[in-house]
Amino acid sequence: MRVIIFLLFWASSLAFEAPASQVKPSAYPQRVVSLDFALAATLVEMGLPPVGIADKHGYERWAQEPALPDSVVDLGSMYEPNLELLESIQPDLILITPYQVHIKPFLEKIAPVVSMTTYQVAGDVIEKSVKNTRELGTILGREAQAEALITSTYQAMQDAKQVVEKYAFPSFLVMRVHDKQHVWVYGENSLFQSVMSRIGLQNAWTQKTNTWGFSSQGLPAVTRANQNKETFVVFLEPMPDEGVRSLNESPLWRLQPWMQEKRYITLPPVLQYGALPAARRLSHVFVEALQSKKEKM
Amino acid sequence: MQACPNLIQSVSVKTIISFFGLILFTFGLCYLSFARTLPSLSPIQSMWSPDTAQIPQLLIHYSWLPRQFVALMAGAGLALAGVILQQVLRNPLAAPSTLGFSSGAMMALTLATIHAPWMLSFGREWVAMAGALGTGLIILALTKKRGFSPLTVILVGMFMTLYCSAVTAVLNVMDQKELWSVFLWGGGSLVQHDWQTFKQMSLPFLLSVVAAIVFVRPLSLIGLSDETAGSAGLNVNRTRMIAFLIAIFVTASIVSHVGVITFIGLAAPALLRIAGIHRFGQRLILAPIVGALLLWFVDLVVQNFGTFSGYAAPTGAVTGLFGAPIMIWLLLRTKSMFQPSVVDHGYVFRTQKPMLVAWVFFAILVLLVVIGLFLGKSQTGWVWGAQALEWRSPRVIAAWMAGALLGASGVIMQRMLRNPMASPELLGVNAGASIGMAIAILSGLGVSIVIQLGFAAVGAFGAMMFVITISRRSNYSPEKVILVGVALTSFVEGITLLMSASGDSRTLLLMSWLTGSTFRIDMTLALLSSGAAIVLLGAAFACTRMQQAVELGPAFIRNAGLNESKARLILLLLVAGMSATATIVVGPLSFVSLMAPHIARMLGVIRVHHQLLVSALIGGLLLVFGDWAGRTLFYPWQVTAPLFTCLVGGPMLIWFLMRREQHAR
Repeated sequence: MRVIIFLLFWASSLAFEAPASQVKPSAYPQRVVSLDFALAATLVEMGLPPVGIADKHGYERWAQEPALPDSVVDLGSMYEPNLELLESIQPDLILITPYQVHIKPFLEKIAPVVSMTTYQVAGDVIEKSVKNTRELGTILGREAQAEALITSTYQAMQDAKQVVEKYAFPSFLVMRVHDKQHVWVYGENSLFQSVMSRIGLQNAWTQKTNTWGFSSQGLPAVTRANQNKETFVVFLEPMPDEGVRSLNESPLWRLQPWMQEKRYITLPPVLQYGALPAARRLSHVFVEALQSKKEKM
Repeated sequence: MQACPNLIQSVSVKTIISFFGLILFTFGLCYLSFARTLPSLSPIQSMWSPDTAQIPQLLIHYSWLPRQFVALMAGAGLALAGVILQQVLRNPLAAPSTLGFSSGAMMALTLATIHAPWMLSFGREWVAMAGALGTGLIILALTKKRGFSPLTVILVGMFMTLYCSAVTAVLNVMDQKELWSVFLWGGGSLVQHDWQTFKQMSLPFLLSVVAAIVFVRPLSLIGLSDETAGSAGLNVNRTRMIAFLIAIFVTASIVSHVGVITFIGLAAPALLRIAGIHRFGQRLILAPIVGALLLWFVDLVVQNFGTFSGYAAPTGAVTGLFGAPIMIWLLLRTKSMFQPSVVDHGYVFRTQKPMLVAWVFFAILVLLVVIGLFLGKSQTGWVWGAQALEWRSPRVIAAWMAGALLGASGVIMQRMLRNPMASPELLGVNAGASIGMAIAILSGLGVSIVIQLGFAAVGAFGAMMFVITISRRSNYSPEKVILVGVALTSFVEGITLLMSASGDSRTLLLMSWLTGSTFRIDMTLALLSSGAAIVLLGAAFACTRMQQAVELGPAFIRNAGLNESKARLILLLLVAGMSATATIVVGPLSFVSLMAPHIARMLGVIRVHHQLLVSALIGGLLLVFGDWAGRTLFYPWQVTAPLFTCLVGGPMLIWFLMRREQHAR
């Protein structure tokens, strides 16, 4: 709430300084730093890639899309970014999430700071991301690009929905396998839930999840909670060891109905704490995986 | 059986009744969890030959049943290792978890996950086992020259724990997102999906039990003293080595499969001692039984009630969390259960010019402060200049002050407890601060650094008051204080393991503080901490005579015209204050307080005020150097000063220690 009020003030103060219609593009922040992957991806999609992000290597591994330009500076840790380096690249805006709010006083010595909430409170990810994207558009003077990103995301989900409707799938269990005993099952508050409900796929995991949209469970508990034998399973990459094959060594995995009938798909990495770009990527890869599965069945 | 009447005589009726009460309750819980898995009553054969089309029967056979067996066996094995280690090390704090086996396994897993994932395809348990065994064997190799003397083993074991945890923490900071699977292992989960774990654990467990029974006589002799054991015709060194090998072997085989489960190895033997069972032979048989029941009980509680808001808590973390209050409760009920610790510094060299040593270190410290302030890195390479003073000066000041406090408090603590492995973090003040910080982060109240540090301060002083209140009954004798500290530390470990195994994103936030950091310090805080440091260090120098008297014993305290318990209270308050201030400034990682006094001692600085001074200087320079190196070596990433000090200082100290042994021979 405070974030919104702050943003409103900030946006209105911008408007006071120079009415939006007359403003030159240079009056808006040009050198933006993002200490959050989702906001960094959103910046790239809006045509203003960040000048620096925290944990660049991590972004390349976990988000993959959209690609960052090589010139992006790696600022180190997300929770303790290198302040000397941050100051030296002279940003004019720093984007953070509420998890970094305690270092805000340090960041504010360098540039104005805006904090945006997505995964730090429960709720529908896409709704929150749309709101954030619009706000970013206002702050950066790129309302048109923001709207274009929102439209293209909804378009991607609409396209996916039309494909999926033909098949009449039962429910899906989306899980990240950590080892043979433990999985994270995604549900309420997750990007996956948000996208799946919009492309007409039903999530089989209806139990409680945490604020970040998953539940850390042992395989037996998941099995006990979901005894619907029609369920499809979605494995999220990266998988441990040799992927699904290694799971087959264990009887409890092997005897699961979905394993026996090979009713599972694997998805390439999609930023699990992602915003609209990740939602768009997810609907693409999800439908692709389902289509190729249906062709084989 | 001659032992039986003895046993019954030595145990009170109340103890026996509560023991059987607990067993009954445990069986009740067991039935409850069985009924939850198998809702309708199916044929009992489903336990061993399930109908593969029936999911509930599959779950009973492949998950529920092996889990109960694994819990029992893991508890028994850890307690066996604990009772053997406590016997040969003659120290009630010795346990598989305090000697670094679990930390070694965790480090190996973390390293393999990041740098050699192919190793994991052979099975995670083998990597973990290699880590645990490797750590144990390194401890043995390093202590061989001293004939595996108990104190050296404990000291080196503590170093290994700290060191492995530090390496793991660095890797966590750099590659956090890859490591959730390691965190899940670290949480100590007993979830099973087949009989593999049980089968793989059984053989090592049975072998260890047999070995322990075979060696029961030498082992009970060695618990008395080296002289007694030696005069009974025992090869002391060989017996110790065999005992360690048994303990390492059984711990490694359990930890590698089920992850970090603290407290059981410590608590099961301690419970027996409290129950009045003093004969080693009896404890050796009973400890595994008690340990098995304890872990099984905790696991059943977890199975039945351990799922909250969609998160199944891992048993190991819960054990640490609930073990702590039980341990403290037991402590309050017992009068005394420990023999006084042994003075064994083993430093023979004594310098004639302690002040010269102090001046040399002061010069190095000044040099390092200048380097820390002016030499840094940028995108293009090394840069010398004052351009980043605004960022660097609070950090350098904070590192210096905290280092000085830690170095000096280590001296007081080691002298007061007459134990070279004592460090202020045993007081539980750091743990209290960490609990405060965890509450600040989890409750969402910690929205600014000042509020977060405020919570940490409240936690630190709360823990301090708690420890002081508890130890008042025993005239502030330090032995009990330490156990409270250990209990609080295990509580903190429980919290972090619980958080990290749930995939809580805020874990990384808490971890970045737990690994100690000068990041949050601004100029105001730096100056405040300097003020506090000057006052506390002044107080420490003002009461050197008292420290000396307390170290020498009650008779000397009275001779010096002091009140015994008052003197101890003053020193405890002093150490707690120093430790709390340092923790608030640079986090709870206080390796420096263990290391600095030893370096001073090694250089032959013996007298209290000299050692305080030199140790404070060394502590300061270690952290200032650590801060600078941590900032520049992994640029743009920053490894925190305490962490870096531990990383580099650990092997250095071990090397020093070993070299000194060679000279001594």
